[in-house]
This record gives sequence, C-alpha cells and structure tokens, in this order.
Amino acid sequence: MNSFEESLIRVFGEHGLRKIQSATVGIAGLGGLGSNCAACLVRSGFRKLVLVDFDKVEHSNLNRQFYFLDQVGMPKTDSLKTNLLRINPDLDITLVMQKISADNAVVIFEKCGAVVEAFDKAESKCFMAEAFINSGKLFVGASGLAGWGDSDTLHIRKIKDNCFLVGDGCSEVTTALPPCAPYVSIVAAKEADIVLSWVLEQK
Amino acid sequence: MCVRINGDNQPFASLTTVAALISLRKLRPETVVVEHNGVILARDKWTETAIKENDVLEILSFVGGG
Repeated sequence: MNSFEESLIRVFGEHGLRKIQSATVGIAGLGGLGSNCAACLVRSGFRKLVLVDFDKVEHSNLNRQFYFLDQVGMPKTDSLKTNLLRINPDLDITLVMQKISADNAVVIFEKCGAVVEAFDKAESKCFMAEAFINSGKLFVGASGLAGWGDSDTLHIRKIKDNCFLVGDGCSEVTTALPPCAPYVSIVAAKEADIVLSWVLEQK
Repeated sequence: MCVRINGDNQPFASLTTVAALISLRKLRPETVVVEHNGVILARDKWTETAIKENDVLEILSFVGGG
C-alpha cells in the first residue's frame, strides 16, 4: 500500500478501503463522464478499473474531459491511464480500445461488479441499460447534462437497488446546448458517488 | 385499469400496447428502454405486447450527451 492509499484509511477505515480496493469497476466511454468519473473513483481508492473507448483525444474535449493539451491525438484509453497513475501509481487498469456494442458489452465487463455508462449517444446508453439492468451488477447511467445554470436539476433516479440514472433527464447535447465542465463533472461525480456508496454498503 | 409506471400507479381508460404508450408519451423508440414486469422488452415486441391490469413498467428514456 502506497502513502496515498495509507492516507485513505483515515477516510474509509481499513475495512472500507479493502472493499474499495477489491471492487472492479467498468467504465463505458471515456469522455466527459467517463474520464471524470474515473478520476473520482481513483481518488476514492479504487484500483481495479476496466476502461473502454475507441476514440482519441481532441481539442474540443478539453473543455470538460480529464485530458491535457499535449495528449491531443492520443488514444483516450492510454491518456486516461497515464493521468490516473499520477493520482495513484499502483492501479490495476485494463484498457479496451474498441467500440462497445450490444453484442460485446457483457463480455467486456464480465469481471466488473459495477458498470458506469458514460456514452455520448442515447442509443448506446440504451443497449448498456438493456444489458446490465438485470445483470446483478450495479449499473449507473446518465441522461441529460447539457448546458449550465440551476445545477440542482441534476439528480439521481433510483430505478432499482442496483440501477441508477443521473442527470436532468431532458437536456440533450446540441450545438445550442453544449456540454460544459461544471454540469458534466457534477453528473460524473454523482455516478462515482453511487459506485462508492454501493461498494461500501456491500457485506 | 391501473398500471404501475416508473413507480407511480397510473389509471388507464382502455387496453393499450407498449408501443402505443411510448408513442403517447412522444418518446423516440430508439432512445427508450422498457422493462415489463421485471423483464427487458425488446423493441420489436412493443407492438404485440398489451399492457394489462397491475402490470409494472419501467420506462427509461435517454438523451444524448456524455
């Protein structure tokens, strides 16, 4: 256990930290939601992550995603791993640089106890929900995070004990209503908080 | 008849199908997930699935952005 992780014992206790460190969390999509959610989880002591994205970092991502200017053009998987290892160098990260579909989602996240849906497209969010809502894993999805102002509208809807949706449910990203750091980070942090509290509640 | 939708009991005047309900709510089918009595209902079954008294439906509607 490194010095950062030792400092987390004061936060969660030894038993709590052990639960966090033994959980495996999958993140589908490493954009604004996925990259920020991963950072929250790593700062909370999570070590085992399955990070999936086929895309590369673009300039237009930098207004809200956990990447840096010198990472533009690089795969999001590799870049995020680099950034997360700066928070905790002892992570056990599985990178999957491929497109997730209804056909491969279950296999990709097979070893994960919790799956975070962090996709851009509504259709992709759908097949993730369909794949995991009754899987026995924790499933956390997001819907409605565009724009700014009145951020208390970003809420958690509990569908069932192992299924939650975060967002305002209606604000779709469009040219007129773009995704921005505060809203996206709030939703990403709420997704991470659901995972953290769920893991800590496990026996 | 009464149907439980997203945790709320809702009265229905007449029998309807899942497809009609989604249409009534002006939702885009490709952005919606329907769980019918605890089972995910494939989109191609919506038209043939009648909603019956005391059914439990979860309707998850997604908008883009992440």
